[in-house]
Amino acid sequence: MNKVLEIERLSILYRIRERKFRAVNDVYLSLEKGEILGLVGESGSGKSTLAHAIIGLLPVNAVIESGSIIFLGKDLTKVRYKDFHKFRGYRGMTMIFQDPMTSLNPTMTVYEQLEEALIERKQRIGWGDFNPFIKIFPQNKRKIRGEFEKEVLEALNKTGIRYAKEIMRKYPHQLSGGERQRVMIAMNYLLKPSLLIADEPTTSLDVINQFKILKLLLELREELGTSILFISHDISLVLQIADKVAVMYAGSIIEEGISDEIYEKPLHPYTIGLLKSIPTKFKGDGRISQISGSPPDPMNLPNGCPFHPRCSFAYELCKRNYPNLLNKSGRKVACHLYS
Amino acid sequence: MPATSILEVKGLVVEYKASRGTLRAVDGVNLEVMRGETFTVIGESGSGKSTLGLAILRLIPVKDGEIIFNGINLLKLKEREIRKIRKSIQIVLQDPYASLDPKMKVKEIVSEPLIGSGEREGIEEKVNKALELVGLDRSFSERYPSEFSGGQRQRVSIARAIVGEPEFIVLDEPTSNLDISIQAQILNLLLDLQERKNLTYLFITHNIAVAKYISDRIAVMYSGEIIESGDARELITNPLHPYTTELISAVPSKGFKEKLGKFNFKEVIHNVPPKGCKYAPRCPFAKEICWNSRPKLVKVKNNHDVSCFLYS
Repeated sequence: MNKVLEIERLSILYRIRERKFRAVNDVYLSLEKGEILGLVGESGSGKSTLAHAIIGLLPVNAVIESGSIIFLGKDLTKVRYKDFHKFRGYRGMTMIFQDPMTSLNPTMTVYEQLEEALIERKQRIGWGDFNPFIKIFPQNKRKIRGEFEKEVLEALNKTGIRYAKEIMRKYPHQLSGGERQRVMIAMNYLLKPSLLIADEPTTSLDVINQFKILKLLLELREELGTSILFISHDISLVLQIADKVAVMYAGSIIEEGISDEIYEKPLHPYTIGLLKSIPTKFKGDGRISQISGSPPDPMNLPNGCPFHPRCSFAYELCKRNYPNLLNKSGRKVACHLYS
Repeated sequence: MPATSILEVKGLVVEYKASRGTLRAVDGVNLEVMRGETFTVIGESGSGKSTLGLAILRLIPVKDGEIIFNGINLLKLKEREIRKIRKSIQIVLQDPYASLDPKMKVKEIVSEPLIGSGEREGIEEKVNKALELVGLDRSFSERYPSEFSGGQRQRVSIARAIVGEPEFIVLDEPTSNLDISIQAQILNLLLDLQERKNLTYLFITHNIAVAKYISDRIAVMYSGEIIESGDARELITNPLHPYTTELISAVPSKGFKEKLGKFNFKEVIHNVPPKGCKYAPRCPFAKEICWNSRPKLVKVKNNHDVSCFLYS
């Protein structure tokens, strides 16, 4: 087996003023080469905190309390902040966000930003045919620029963007949401990452653009063998796109398994509730069932199982004891109903 | 009893000034909404669906057309007269973080439509009743929006919309910023309110699953025009326009990965023809006529209209 990422008993604490709370609680995850792992959860479930911990972007008031994040054989929890860049970018990990406007630099053209990625790669693997002394021999700059442009254009073309040549000269604010997300994907073709973290990459797009961006992510994986951690609140989407799915609630993983199996037979009452909340009926054919209440405040989690106040199957034990994540015929589920 | 019309839009045109010339966001839209139904406008971003919603409330200037609400042409009214009508036409917007004033208490937010229309008496009682109807506790009225979650905020927006006993509410993507479990709660709440108060909704969304669940009738909007409209069940199970088919097949459902695998990007090289169908450059079935003249919305079946040369 070819593990790209392995997370063990990871817990992350946030400090807000004098209070502390645990945003990620005892999480285990593993991701193999070329696999898509879907991470589903509602807002405040800790899914983005987990992603930020993996790529080393936790805010200063967050600390990794315990556990390890092994990425390509190295424990990232032991890596100092200033060395972290070695694990990002070329053949490392990259991330795309919900709003590409915030991850693209508004003062640089698309070409300049993609060129940066290319230069980063060249610095890692040596310049090869390129003359590294562009500064000393400015007459070579034009030639190198020509080569760079060719490669950037090729990456943009792979994303099916219209008018790639014109797009290169534009600034991010001149592009549509779908085009910006395509530029982010083009950057990945230049950096060839081992792991791509996609945090709600299609949430702000309409269905047709969502469809196209998902197609591009599958193509990227096909071509580069990239593993993808796909984070979303939309369980119907994640179950269709991912190979494996982990459902997060209040900082913990409460169910994990092969997507098709979860789709066919969800075990945890929360997963069941989520799947039932997806509108599928026509008006007049009855109501969809809903999970009552709202996700708990991470600062103020209930005792016992964090889902028990919203769970229709909850009994005495659920109010007292925290359920452990158990293996149940290839699936993992954290619920007293199955222990 | 035959359904009576509450809102009729005729030949509506809305233009925005862009850096180069003008942009026609709504281009000759005709629609009729019946009392007590949910009429949904589906479309991708930039199709003009939100502009249409804002224009109906007269929140943005309209270039041409008529908006007839209960027999009165809203575009002919003066600002003072429109205020009286606003109480019966309300709006709920997508982002409950942006649409609620953070410095106002919930009771002030919810009472605004009443105060705006000149009511002075029994305001507190009406506010409390509205909060109760949307499933919020009375004690919420003294609190500020920042203390609430997204779902609770959207309930406050809905309370504000229903407090003045409106007949008609424009709902512009009211659930697309919410988690799935909360979306289900809000959709069910909207359906309950509609039944109890005989409300009419104009629902704007890009989410087909949501549209299917809440609508009686659906209109599909593309590039400022309505290209297909009909009974919700009929339109979704039996879409006619190639664009509607494209929209429906892009929804994640069983066999989605195979669909993604088979999909090929169609090279879109042509610009939108000035006289032809706006969808022609993207359309796999475009014929010569599509490039030269623009199709009109025609009745194909009972309760099903489409604007496409494949059907005429």
